[in-house]
Amino acid sequence: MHDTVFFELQGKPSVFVATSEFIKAASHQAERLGLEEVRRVFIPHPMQDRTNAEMHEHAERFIDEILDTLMAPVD
Amino acid sequence: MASTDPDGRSALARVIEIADHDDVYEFMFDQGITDGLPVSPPTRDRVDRMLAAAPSDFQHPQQVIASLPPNLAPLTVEKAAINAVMAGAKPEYFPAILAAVEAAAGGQFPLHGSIATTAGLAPMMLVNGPERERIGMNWGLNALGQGNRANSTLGRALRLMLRNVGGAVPGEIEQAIQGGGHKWTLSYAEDEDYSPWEPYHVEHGYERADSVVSLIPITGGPRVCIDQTSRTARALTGSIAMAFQQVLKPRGQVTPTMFVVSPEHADVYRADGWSKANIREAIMEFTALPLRERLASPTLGGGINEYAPEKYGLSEAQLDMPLSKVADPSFIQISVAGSHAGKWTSIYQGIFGDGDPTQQQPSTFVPPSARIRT
Repeated sequence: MHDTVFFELQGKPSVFVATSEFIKAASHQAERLGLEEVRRVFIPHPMQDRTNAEMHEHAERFIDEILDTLMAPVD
Repeated sequence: MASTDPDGRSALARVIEIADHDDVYEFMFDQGITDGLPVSPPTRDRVDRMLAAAPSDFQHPQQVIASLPPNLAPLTVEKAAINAVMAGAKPEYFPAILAAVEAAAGGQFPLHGSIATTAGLAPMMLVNGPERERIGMNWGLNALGQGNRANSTLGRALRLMLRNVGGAVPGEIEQAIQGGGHKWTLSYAEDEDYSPWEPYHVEHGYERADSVVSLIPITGGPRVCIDQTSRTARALTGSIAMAFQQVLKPRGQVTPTMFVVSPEHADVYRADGWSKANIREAIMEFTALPLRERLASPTLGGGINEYAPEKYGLSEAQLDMPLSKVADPSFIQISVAGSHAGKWTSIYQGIFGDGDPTQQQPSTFVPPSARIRT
C-alpha cells in the first residue's frame, strides 16, 4: 500500500493487489496514509500454497479487472 | 500528560483530565492505547521524570528520534517518554529504551516488515554492558520470563510506541497470524561473567565497558532443548542441532536465530574448550541435508519450493549439495542466560529463509544494535 500511495503521489496511476484476507488491513493503511480512495483489487485467498498453474490461472482471471481498475478514474 | 519538560521547554502532548468518578485504567483501555494489559497513566510528573533521564543528545522533547512504521509517523522524545511510562518503565530505563528504538528503527532491523508480515516477527532484545546491572536487569533464573521490571518493560515500551505512534494495531494494519508472547515484550540481559565467551556486544565490535542493546528479529520461541546428560560439547551440540532442525518446518531453512545457552550447558562448552565458532560449525554440519531433502515433499511436507529443480535447472550433483538449516554460520547467534539448575538451551527462531538454492549468497548477519548513552 505504501508503494501504491507513493506512485499516486507522483502522479502515476497505480493499483494495489492483495488477497481477500487483507481487505481490512488495506483500508486501514490507505486511510492512515491519507489516500482512502487508492485503487485496489483483491484476489481469492489463499495464495501461498497455489501451484504455478493455479497462479497463472489467477493471473488470467484477474488481469482484466486489474487493468480496468488501473485505467478507471479514482472515486 | 506533559505540556512542558522540566526546563520549561515545549512539550506538545495534550493534558487530559480524568473525572474523579472515572477509572483512569479503564479510560486508557477505552482510548485503544494499551496492549491488552493495563498501562501506567502517563501523568505530567511521570513523563517529566522520564524526560529528565534522557541522554544529553535527546534533551529536547520534540526532537524526532525515528519514523515508526507502519504509518511512518515521527516518534519524538516526548512520545517515547509517554509510552515508556505507560509500559511501566522507571526513568533510569529510558536510555536503554531509546537505544532500543535506535536499533529497531535505524535501518538495520526489518521493522516495517516485521509489522506488515503475517509471520508475527518481533524484536528479541538483548542488553549487555554495565547498564544492565545499573537498571537491575535479570540474566539469571527466569531471565526470559516474567518477574523483573526492567526485562518486562523495555520491550513493552517499544511495542507500545509501535502501536500508539506507528499505528501497528493488531487486526488493523498488523496481521500476525497467531502472535506470541514475544509480541508483548522479550528483553533480557546476558550473564557476561559466567559466559565462557566474550560478551555478546564485544563479539560484535563494542568495548566491554559499552552498554548495548542488540535486536534479533524472531517469529517465536523458545524451542527448548533440554539435554541434561550430554557431557561433551559435540554430543550436546548434536542435540541442540536436532531441536533446531525442527523449527518452522523441518525441511526448510531459517533466518538468524538466537540460541540462549544456560550456564550448565555453557559449562559443557567451557570444559571442552569450544568457541562459538565451533558450535556454529557443528550446527551447520549436523543440520546439513542434501538439497533434494530440503525440497517440499509429498509425504514430509513443506521445504524449498518443489519447482526449484525445474525453475533453476538443478543438476543431480546440485541436488546432492548439502544445505544446512541456515545459509550462513553467522545466522547462529549465541548468548548466555538462565539459572544454574538445568542443562537447557532455548532457541528463538527467525523467519523462513528458503530462497533460490543455487544462489545462496549468505551475507554475514550482524545484529542491529545501538549503544546506550546515559
